Amino acid sequence: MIDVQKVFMSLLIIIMLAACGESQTTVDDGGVNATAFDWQIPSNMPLPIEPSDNPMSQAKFELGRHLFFDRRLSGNGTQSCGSCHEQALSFTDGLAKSVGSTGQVLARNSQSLLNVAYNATLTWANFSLVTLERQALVPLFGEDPVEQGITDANRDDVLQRIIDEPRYLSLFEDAFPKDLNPIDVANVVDSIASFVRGLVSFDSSFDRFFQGDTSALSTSARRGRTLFNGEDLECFHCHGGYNFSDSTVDRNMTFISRPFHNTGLFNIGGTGAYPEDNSGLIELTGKPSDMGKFRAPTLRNIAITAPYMHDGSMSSLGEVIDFYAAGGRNIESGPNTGDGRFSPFKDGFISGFDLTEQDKTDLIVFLNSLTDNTFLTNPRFGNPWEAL
Amino acid sequence: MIFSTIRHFITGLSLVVSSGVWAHGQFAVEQALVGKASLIAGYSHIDNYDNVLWQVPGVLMGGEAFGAEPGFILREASLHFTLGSEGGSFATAELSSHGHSGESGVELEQALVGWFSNVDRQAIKLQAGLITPLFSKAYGQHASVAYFTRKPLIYELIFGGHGSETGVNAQWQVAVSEHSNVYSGMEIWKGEKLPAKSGDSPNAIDAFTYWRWHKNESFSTLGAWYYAGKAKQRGDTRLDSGHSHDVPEETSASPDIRFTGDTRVFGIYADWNWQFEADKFLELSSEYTLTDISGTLQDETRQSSLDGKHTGLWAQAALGINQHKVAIRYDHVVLDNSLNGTGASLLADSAKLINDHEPNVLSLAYEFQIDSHLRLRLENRVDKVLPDTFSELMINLIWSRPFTF
Amino acid sequence: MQALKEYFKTRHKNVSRTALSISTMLLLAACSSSSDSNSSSSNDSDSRIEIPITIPFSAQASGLSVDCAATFTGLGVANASGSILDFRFYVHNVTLISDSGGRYEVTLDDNNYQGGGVGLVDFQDMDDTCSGAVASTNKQITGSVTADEDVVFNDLEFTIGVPANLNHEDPSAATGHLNILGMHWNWQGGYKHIRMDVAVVGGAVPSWNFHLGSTGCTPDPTDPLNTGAAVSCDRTNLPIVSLANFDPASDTVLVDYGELVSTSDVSANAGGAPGCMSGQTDPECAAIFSKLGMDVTLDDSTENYQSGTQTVFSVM
Repeated sequence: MIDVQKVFMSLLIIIMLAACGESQTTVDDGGVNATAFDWQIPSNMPLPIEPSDNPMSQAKFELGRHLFFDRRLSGNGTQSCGSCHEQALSFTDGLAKSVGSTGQVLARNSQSLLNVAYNATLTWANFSLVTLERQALVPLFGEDPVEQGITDANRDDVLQRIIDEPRYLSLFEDAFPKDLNPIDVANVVDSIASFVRGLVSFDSSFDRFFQGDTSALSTSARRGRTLFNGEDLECFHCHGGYNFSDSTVDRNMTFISRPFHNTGLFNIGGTGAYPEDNSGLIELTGKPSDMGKFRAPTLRNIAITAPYMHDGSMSSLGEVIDFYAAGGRNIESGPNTGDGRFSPFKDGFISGFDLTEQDKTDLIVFLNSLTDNTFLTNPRFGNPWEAL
Repeated sequence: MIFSTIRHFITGLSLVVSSGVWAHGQFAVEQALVGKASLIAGYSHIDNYDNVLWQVPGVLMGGEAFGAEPGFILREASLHFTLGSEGGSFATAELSSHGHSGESGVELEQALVGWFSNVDRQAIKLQAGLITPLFSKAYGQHASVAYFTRKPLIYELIFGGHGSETGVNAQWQVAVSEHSNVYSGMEIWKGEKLPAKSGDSPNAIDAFTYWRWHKNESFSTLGAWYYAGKAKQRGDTRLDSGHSHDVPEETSASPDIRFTGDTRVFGIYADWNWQFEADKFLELSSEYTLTDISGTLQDETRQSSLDGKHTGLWAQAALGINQHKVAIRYDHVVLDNSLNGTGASLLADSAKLINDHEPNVLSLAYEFQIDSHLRLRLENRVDKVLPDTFSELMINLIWSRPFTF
Repeated sequence: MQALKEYFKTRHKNVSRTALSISTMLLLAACSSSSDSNSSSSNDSDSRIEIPITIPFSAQASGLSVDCAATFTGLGVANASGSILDFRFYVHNVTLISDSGGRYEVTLDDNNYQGGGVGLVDFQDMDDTCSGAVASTNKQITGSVTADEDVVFNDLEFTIGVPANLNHEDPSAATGHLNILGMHWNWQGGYKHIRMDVAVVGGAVPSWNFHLGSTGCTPDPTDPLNTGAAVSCDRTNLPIVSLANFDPASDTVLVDYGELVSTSDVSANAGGAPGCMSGQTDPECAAIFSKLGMDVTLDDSTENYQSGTQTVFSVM
């Protein structure tokens, strides 16, 4: 039946024509990535959260940079944020425990500020501080320990120093154009927070490898990476993701967690206790299971930010790796005697592992590949008062 | 003479195997144990091929879609048994082995029990167990029976290339006239196989109907089918352990990505087979599919909605003259996706859904019948599925033979 | 002369009568004008007026008024002597209860020490931990209630601290009494509801500090503004003070610091920070909290975490 065949042929042709068209993928993120700031990061990296009451701007960032490195922004005029957060050391200070403007030694180690905008919680063990604006109040105005040492008594004097500095008026006016008298504490805090939020960079060897340059990581580094991401070492559980920390948030996330972990550094008297002045999340919650819980910091620039741990008690990456390989730290004498490997509060992933010398070397080479050298010298993040 | 009869029989057998003894609307199952054994071994050469996980941008993949396999390979080894009894009940088992990335275990492809009944001009068949899907001829067909080693593109992308699954089906065949019948059926699946993923079972169903008629020497088929499957937290199972090559994270979709939602596929199929002379035939077939995907895409921290509309078309022509057969097939797929939500841009990137090109394949095959059971097939595949084009040349030896006990 | 006297007498009578009627009219005018804002049209039969309220506070320890100069004796279980370094606390939800059981919430005035419904009571008369210049104090809470003009108030009730809805706003952008750095409690994102620090003579620690704040404050998972202000605390630690037989016209609220620390040892640090920083595991907090009627081990979800009776505040 010729007719049926004709029908067939035409059907086939019609079907073929019907399938014409162009593939396309449309993505609508609801404007969540809208921002007024030039973050200067690769386009496939997520952007940090901006609080609605302090959106980012280049002017605030620039003003914040001036305030961050300004020693006059302390009670006695001797210390700036940059004193404990030096750019060349990825915004740490190389000390085990930092020292405040009145000489008081802090309980904890200065943390790197690289990509701190992505931190789910701020400082070593505090689930209440989730914005840089709130966190900045602690070093500026805290009484115990005294860091910048700004108090009710000297606040007006400190502000006057800022007002008297000729560079600041135009910086404040540009940053806060709607304020009649822009030089006040709230704007100081907001601009420092904006500067610190803008300390983002993804330019390590690892980042270049991740963006497609397969030559950026050596074979040893790749082996180290496999170890890092493997189920023996389990490093990636707490130090995974694009920021090498499980306490990371960005504006594209729906499911946010703000975790803290006990790694078995102390087990004083066998009770799992950490030193009283530095016991971690339990200081806020009082819950026994929060003893010794701290936030897992980023491993970016880890090669530069020694000493390590919340109390700066480990001085090299080799020491840190040995500690994790042992599954905890055994302190054999002194006031903190106790075997952290048997701490009842230790995180389940810290169970120790076997590592050959070559493995250890590969792991350290990988960790070294997380160093972002441009961040350490980029004038965008540098001290504008160098001449002073 | 004997050769040509045998050849004719084999050609006819392939029709019979694929469409049942349908001329009078009857099902039939032998009451003795019958079976079929088939084997395909071959060698494949691919120019500039990077042996990475086959990830086609624009569609969430999984199942057993591994793409091209270069080198020597046992493509398929299959043993199929059926045993019937009077009263209409029967059992079928099929063992098969498919070579993928170096592994070649034997798996149970089918294990089912069934019952059929022929009444007058109608027949009904019920099956339950581990079954190869019936809704699409091109999907259920073994490579030893088809003209080409690889299934049409849409089955590899949407269905993961491989489909036997636990389920039940009901088939019905009615002879409409002396020369035509309608064959329909419905299948209900547990819903473990791509694009479904078990949540509350059963999770996937399909229904099909084929109208077949013949007039003199031409046999025509026109059919339509519909599949719907639900997925819950479906990831890419190819990334699970068990495959020999190291999966490079940068080129494949993130293993954390999970899809929850519905996949619905609608297909129209047309086939025309014309035996214009003894030992000579021409076959034209084509299928158009429309896939609709709607659901949510998630990874550990991000979420977005995913809506996909994919259209697929393949058209095939085959010519057989005595021992020689040539075939050509063109496969074309259009992949459209739309993602909405705060995680949309990052998920689209890590799920490898960003796509602006239409995957297509042009396949050519030449087959030579060496003897009644053995064929030699040369295939050339111009593969434009990935953004880079490559060309694959295959030489396959196909052996297949029915048997009885 | 007599006529002049007569004249003045009459004038005087007239004047006084006029003065009386004028003052009555003024009084009525004042009362009715101030009740305008209360739209007395909707209040049918009763004559509700706005009554100004002043609640005076007084603080003492060992019989002495609390100020920077005073040296107290017999503080705590070690009978220590000491003087204050800081002595301030916030109050809100100030409510007067009438003899018929009616509750009248006091609307706080807005002034240097009050605003947003929160007031700061301040006894520290020298700034910079009592070592600096003379500073102003605030020993009263003022406001007004809307009630019948013949209402009789029997009881007073108020809540200590900054209420939860204001406790986590940006302190650096706050104004007035909510922008005092010494009353911020930044490490837990809130305010010190009470700050009472004492320096003990010959003490083992330089100061013994009581800072009451809300603890266990976690950010709400959905914070669409991302400002960090959406926070909920396990323990708001806002004790309610109920004082019976309190007449605002004649009585004063007495804060007894000696009573607060009577079962504590302010001369030493028994654990944690010296004093009580509201930590559940600080052994020095249990006694202090129970003086305020709270159980430091329980959180807000527990029904009777505030079931105790406070003994620090009383009627004088």
